[in-house]
Amino acid sequence: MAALLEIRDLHLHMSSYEGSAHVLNGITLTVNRGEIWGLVGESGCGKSLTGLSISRLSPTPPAHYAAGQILLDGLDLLGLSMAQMQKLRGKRIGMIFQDPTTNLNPAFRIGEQLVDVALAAARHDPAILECPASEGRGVRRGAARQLAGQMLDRVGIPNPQARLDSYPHEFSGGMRQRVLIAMALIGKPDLLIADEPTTALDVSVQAQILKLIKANVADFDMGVLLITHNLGVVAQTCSHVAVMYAGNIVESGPVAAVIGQPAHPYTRALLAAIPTRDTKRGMLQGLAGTVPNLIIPPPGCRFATRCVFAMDACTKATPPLQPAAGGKLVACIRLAEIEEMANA
Amino acid sequence: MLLFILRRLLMLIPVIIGLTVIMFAIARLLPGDPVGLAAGPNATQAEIAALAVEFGLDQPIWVQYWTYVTGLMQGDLGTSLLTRRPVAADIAAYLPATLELVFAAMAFAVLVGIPLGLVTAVWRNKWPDYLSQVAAIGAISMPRFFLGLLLQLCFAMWLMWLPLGGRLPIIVIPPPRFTGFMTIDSLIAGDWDTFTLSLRHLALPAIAMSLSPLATIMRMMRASTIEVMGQDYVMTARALGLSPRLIITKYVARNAISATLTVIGLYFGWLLGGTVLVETVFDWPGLGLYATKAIVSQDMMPVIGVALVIGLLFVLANLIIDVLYGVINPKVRYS
Amino acid sequence: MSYAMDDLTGPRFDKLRRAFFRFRQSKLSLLGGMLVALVLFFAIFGTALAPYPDHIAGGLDTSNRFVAPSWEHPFGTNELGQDVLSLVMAGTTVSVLAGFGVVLIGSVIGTIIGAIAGFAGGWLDEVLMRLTDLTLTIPGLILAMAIAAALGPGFGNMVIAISLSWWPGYARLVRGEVLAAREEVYVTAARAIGASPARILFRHILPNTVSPIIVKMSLDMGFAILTVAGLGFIGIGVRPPTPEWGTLLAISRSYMPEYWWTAMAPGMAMFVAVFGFNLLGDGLRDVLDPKARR
Repeated sequence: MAALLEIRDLHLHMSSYEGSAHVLNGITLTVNRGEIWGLVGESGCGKSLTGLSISRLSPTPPAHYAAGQILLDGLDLLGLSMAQMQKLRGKRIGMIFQDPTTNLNPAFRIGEQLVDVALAAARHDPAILECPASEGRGVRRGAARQLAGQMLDRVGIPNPQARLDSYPHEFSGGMRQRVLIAMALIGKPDLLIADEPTTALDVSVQAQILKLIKANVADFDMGVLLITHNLGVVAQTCSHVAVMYAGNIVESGPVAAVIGQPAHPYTRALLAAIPTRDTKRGMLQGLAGTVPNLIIPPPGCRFATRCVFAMDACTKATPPLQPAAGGKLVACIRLAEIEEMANA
Repeated sequence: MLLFILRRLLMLIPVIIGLTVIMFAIARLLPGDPVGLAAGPNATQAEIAALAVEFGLDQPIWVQYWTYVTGLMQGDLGTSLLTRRPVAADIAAYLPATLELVFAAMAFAVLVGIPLGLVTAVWRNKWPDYLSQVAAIGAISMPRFFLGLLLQLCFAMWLMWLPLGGRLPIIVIPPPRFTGFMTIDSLIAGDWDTFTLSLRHLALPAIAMSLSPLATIMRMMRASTIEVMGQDYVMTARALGLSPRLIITKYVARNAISATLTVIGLYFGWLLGGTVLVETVFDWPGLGLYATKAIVSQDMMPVIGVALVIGLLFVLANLIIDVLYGVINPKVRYS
Repeated sequence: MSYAMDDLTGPRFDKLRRAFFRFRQSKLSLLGGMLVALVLFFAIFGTALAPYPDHIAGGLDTSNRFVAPSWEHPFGTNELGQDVLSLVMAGTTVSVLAGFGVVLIGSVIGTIIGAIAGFAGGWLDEVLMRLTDLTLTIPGLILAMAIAAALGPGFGNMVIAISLSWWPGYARLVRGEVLAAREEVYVTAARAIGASPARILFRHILPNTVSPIIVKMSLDMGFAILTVAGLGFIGIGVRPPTPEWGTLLAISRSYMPEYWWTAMAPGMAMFVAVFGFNLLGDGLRDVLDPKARR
């Protein structure tokens, strides 16, 4: 079966006042249906931009795609016009953003916002509404409203039909995020991109939201790209994970393999930095150095400046993603030696 | 919702009281000769003295104020020297004309200004936008009475498309008076011809008055539209595939309009004040013309009366705007 | 350790220089500046430079009534044979002076009231602010008319009447600035040294509020001139033969449409003056008050 989402060697430049930043340096990622991929990395590594790029939501004057492809079920997204992209958004690609407070329009009832998304989706796939396109506007709106109520129920909002007439400020943060998930799923998308969906929520609510996302994957036969900086979220929810650093994917693969046996020096350092019960006071491990300047990126491997294992050869060229143990892909030329040193 | 309206109504009372105090201060306490002015330039000393007693100027200030206020509550705003009628009766007769003009001007400004603001925001930084910005400043700088004169010159005198002034042609009998609005009354009477005529007479003065608020509404709408377009929820709407046209005409428009509404309230007051000049140019028989004629004849009571009534109208208008704002923006209802 | 005076004034100078650089960048603001300079030039020298000075003083030339615009009379002549251009030039002085007077008096009154309200706080603040709000409830022109009606006719009375409707804006502005400045460290420091409230207010706080006041004054000039002209149009204020734009326009009404030029010059002069001041005011605001930037 062809992959749902394939990003091949994506290069993105963002022009700014100071110059042109090479923010995505050859991103390669494959997501299949039924998989929940975590995209993890520190702030500024480019994970949000990757998500936005799939939906082409990054405006192209400052953004410029220098090379690469984004394929959705084989369809080349970068070659589509904005009008064609609009046909895919909400229908084949659903998106959830970080802050539930600002992502719902405060002046409209949530029912109305849900209905509009549903109607937009139904224009390209009338089956969503279970109502033929030939029917009058009123009938279609009614069907969309029914569907909206069902979606609210599915995401766990009590008393869904009545709540359709509520305004966003009448919901709590967690509830609003559920509404946003309902909005993202109402068009029955094939790919769901969630950009830090739980960062702005309480820990207890976080778990509920993640469970909700997970539960819907099978029902909709979706693939999910879950962008986050929280490894805990990844471990809890994802089936696969890709670790990003400074515009590169340094390690990707099944979650147990990546988190259980980290191969790339960055992944190792990341996992080592997480405090556990046994971490003694004053023994927090950080990572020395800072993220490189993307306008004048360092030559070769972008992690080399901070890498304990760096050699001269590392600065010659960007290391490609190579297959490694456990079904992973790792971008490091010293992989074998690092294994030995670590196990010694 | 009702509670919200009631609360706002209660807040009106101190304002109204304050208004009466100010008007009283102007009428009685300013240097100048109120009695001499009220008596008129041809009064004798005896008449002035009698009038002074009648005004109660020998009483202490608070008694004078009390008489003034009780008089107000009974609808007594003094007598006009010119028309020899109670000012209150005059105001009641001329008020609808002014209101009709103000509403027409406001409607025009809103109906043209809001879409223009939306359009210039969506197509900003291209040359039509730049031009409209300069034109807006020009519109605000243009004196209303000069504009009225120019419109008269151009459309009434040279092109002869529209009438010169007044509410209806002299030969036409006005419809029976229900609201005092020529437009509405002629509709009620089923008189289509008079309705069209009244609209034609309304056109030029309304446009002259509306240009400045139109420009400001356009600028405000443009600014708030730009701000709304940068909001997260607009990004979400785009991400979920809503068409740009729907996003702008339905969602962005409503969010942006609520910010512009507050300006509309302020402009209502400005319009009420500005009727003076435009009514003079177009011979429009409203409060403005009434006050103008009075002031030129040094007839003080009508001017004070008009000021008080317009102040009250302004306060009322702001209340209505507040309520409308509560309808559009549900969060405000709980404040 | 002593600091040279240049060091202390250095940053402020720099700020001003940068501000003017930004000002020069905006073409519209420059246009406004030029127009205002033109208007002010005529305000000061208009009466002296007018080609037909005797007309301004009231002289008639009945043989030359209603001459259309020509080389001798670029804006034609009016019903008394007077040169319209000269009248308008002289009128600049009257209108601009009146407008300036209104803004000046209004800003002084407003600043005092606002400063006291902001600094004193408490019930005094409440009372003064209620007064300000109430004055704002009555539209400016009407209020000015009411006050002018009570005071009686005359140029001075008109200026006072308009000023009395103009001060609330300044009161609010200054009160806000004073309230904010009250919390600043330098005020606490001054108090600690034992400075009296009056001294703190006048020596320390007010100088820092000058900039927004100036911005507002320049923005208001245009509308002040409009209001003066408006009242002149109605017939309040100046007595003939003193030329004033509004009065000239009012007189010209009777002679429409045949002698349309008698209205053009005063009207256009009004428009140019107000347009210039508005552009200038906008430009100054963008430059001096970056918080208000669009």
